[in-house]
Amino acid sequence: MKLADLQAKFQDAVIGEDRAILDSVNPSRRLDRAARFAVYSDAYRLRHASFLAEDYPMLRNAMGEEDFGALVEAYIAATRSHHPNARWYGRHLPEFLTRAEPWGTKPDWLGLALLERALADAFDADDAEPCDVGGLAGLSSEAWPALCFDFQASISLLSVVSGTCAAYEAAAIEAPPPQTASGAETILVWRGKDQQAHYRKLETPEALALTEARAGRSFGAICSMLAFRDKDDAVAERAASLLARWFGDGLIRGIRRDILQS
Amino acid sequence: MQKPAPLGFGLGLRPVYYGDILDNKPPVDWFEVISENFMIPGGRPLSVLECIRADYPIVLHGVSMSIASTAPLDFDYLGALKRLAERFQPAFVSDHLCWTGVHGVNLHDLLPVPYTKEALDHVVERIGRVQDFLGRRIAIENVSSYVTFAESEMDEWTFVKEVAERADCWLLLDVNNVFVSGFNHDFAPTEFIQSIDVDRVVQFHLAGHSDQGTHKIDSHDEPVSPEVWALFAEAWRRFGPVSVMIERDDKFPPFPELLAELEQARGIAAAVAAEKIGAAA
Repeated sequence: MKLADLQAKFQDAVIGEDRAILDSVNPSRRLDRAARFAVYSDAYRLRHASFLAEDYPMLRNAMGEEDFGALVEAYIAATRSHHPNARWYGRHLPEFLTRAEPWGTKPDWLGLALLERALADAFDADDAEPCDVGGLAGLSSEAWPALCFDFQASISLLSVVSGTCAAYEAAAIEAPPPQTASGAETILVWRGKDQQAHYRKLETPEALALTEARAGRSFGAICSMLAFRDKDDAVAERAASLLARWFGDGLIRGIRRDILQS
Repeated sequence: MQKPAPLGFGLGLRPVYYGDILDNKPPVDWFEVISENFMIPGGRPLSVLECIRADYPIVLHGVSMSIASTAPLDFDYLGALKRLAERFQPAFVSDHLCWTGVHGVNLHDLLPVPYTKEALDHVVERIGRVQDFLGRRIAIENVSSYVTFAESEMDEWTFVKEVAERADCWLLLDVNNVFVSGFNHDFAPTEFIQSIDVDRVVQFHLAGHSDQGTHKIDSHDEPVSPEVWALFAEAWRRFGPVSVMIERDDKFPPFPELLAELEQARGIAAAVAAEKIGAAA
């Protein structure tokens, strides 16, 4: 048999049920062909299950061994790895949850899966030195409205079912999941200055402001948006305080002026 | 052909030990790094590696080159490996004499090769292209295997020896893999060791394995077994001194236990060296 045919048959047998490769496998003194080959096919499933368990530990805690095991088995049956680094194998698990029965009806599990994937992505996202808030010192008050900000590549803003953060924290201590409320919550995920991935739930004004700022809107435009929404006179102070927090968290990697406003 | 100078006695760099290494700068001569774990955009793993590289030599050891695959060489992967090597300046770049998938799939396993003339020609040609692309000679490691193929036309050690000679590459001799495959396929590990050219071997791997009764598995989750230590002594007698490292990938012990295993390797190497001096005197 040609090498290419042998490898194709070997791979088919590792992934599926086709055992044509066994004609090419020698038995040993202690094991028959099928038992020898099973070392590879068993290892395939165990190894891919361990990738998923490592990537989604809180989802596993929340679902319990039986449900998580069934999900993992279904995902492995449906999903091949196409990347040299196993780190990327489990990244489609959240989408798989939404379209595969019976998990598609469990938005709390989807929220946990999305949060865990975002934390993993934040951990090894591209590097950029965070910008210090001192970069704003000395700017005149007239300059502020035209300021725009560049953000770290590690940032994700997740819109998930309300109670996802609480469910994640409960799963971390293997406590029973809290009652989920209706509606959605926005979670910010990022890699901090300590190089660890962090998350926090955002109140609606901060979620809106951060979405606008990441889209390149100027500080002045963000203030106008907040003022329109909340009819609040102290909007500039509130926006400045959000900005200070973003600098403190290391979210911002650059400051520039919006040329249309300056 | 000048072999690179031995690096001494090293360990695999694993995240669970980052703290021990960064805080204590332990007496380890060098670290072996799994290349793919650092082919990432950024973050802590790369900055930790920068810190460790400032104090220790490193070797890049890959698991996904898939040198024996009939799928085309992955030049995106090789490009990333080349950039990693340019950044961290490893003493060697190594990977396995195996394949990891075909048709765009990666099975994330070190899959066995039939020892045929066709496979030999194929692997030799691909190592040549990889070495040209990377601009350096690479080291190829013998793997543990759990099947042999009816198609094979030669012994594993004949295949390995021929690959190294014809591709003009280095060999990374995994002593545990020789032992595991020897048990699984009923050959004498010493025959493998004695058949390989001394001039090609630049590094040894040592590791633990699990014993399933009917077969052994290269699990890296146990200390090095007494039989593998004995085989290491024989290998050192033939090939030493070369760079040696201990792999541990599961059931991680406290770091001092790995240092103690490394001391055991140093002790065996010293005893073999003393024996050679005694024999020469």
